[in-house]
Amino acid sequence: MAQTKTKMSATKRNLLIDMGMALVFLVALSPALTGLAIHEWLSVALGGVLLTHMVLHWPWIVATTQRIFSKLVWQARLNYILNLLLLVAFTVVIGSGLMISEAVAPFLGLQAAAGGVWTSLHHVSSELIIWIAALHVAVHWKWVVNAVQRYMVQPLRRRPAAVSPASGD
Amino acid sequence: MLRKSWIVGLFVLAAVIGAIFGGTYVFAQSSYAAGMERGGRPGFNQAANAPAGDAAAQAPTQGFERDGSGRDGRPNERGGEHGHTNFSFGRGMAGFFMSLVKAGLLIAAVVVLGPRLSGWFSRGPAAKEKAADAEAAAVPPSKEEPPAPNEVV
Repeated sequence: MAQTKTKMSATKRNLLIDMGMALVFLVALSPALTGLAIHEWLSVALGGVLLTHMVLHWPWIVATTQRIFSKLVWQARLNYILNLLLLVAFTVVIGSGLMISEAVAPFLGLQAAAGGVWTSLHHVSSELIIWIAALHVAVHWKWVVNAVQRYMVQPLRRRPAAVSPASGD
Repeated sequence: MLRKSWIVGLFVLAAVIGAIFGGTYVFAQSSYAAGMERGGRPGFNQAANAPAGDAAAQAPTQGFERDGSGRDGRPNERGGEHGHTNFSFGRGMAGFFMSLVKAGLLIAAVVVLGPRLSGWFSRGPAAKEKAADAEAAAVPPSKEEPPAPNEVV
């Protein structure tokens, strides 16, 4: 029997990646919840997912970069600036985290730098990320609500209706 | 081509991230960052204060030892390294929800105020003037001119 593979829609894929990223980000923000080693490895994984998120939105990045100094609606420009700030903040937080790392750096055979400036940069950038990421979500709020409605709420509502005729026998 | 190829995107993004991290590294090595580490006081005379600092570092720590051992063999509850990163479910959950509340409050504020601000930004000066006139015209006459003292309302 030939099985037909259904291709996941881009919106659904983005929603799943973004929700996973938000959850991992909140957990990684609280090192006491996981302990230091898991905090470090989780943050490295988050860096990889962030890179995937950006690669998936690469066409938007190129199109907006090409038009950023010409005609562009202010919402798109604001969104672009927010995303750029997020990229800088995430690079600083993950980079500084690696510099003061006690689990990842020794595993990779690297020697971590002593705290000081790197620790300060790590704390300041992680605090900034909460605010910038919240603004990023707020700017995309309509998309979030629509995607959650379509791919999470509606399938849940449909399921009991599909089951009820069989169970009513 | 640039827009369609994800592999190009990956390389460009890696280069941008490398540049940002390089900039951060240069900043961390600068004398400005070293000044920040000392408390950000310009002209801070570190050499003059070094002996006092060394003496303080060598002084007995009143029961809170740096190796985390504490007084009389009891575990040191206040000292030790990286207290905030040691596993603690309660403290961890508190941190998790605190971040969630911070982000949630900002999202709620922007989602509620955003459409109003957006509407305000997208309106031109003429439309704003018209809206102000309409608002003024909407004031009921009774509020514009109070009735005379002898007038029967």
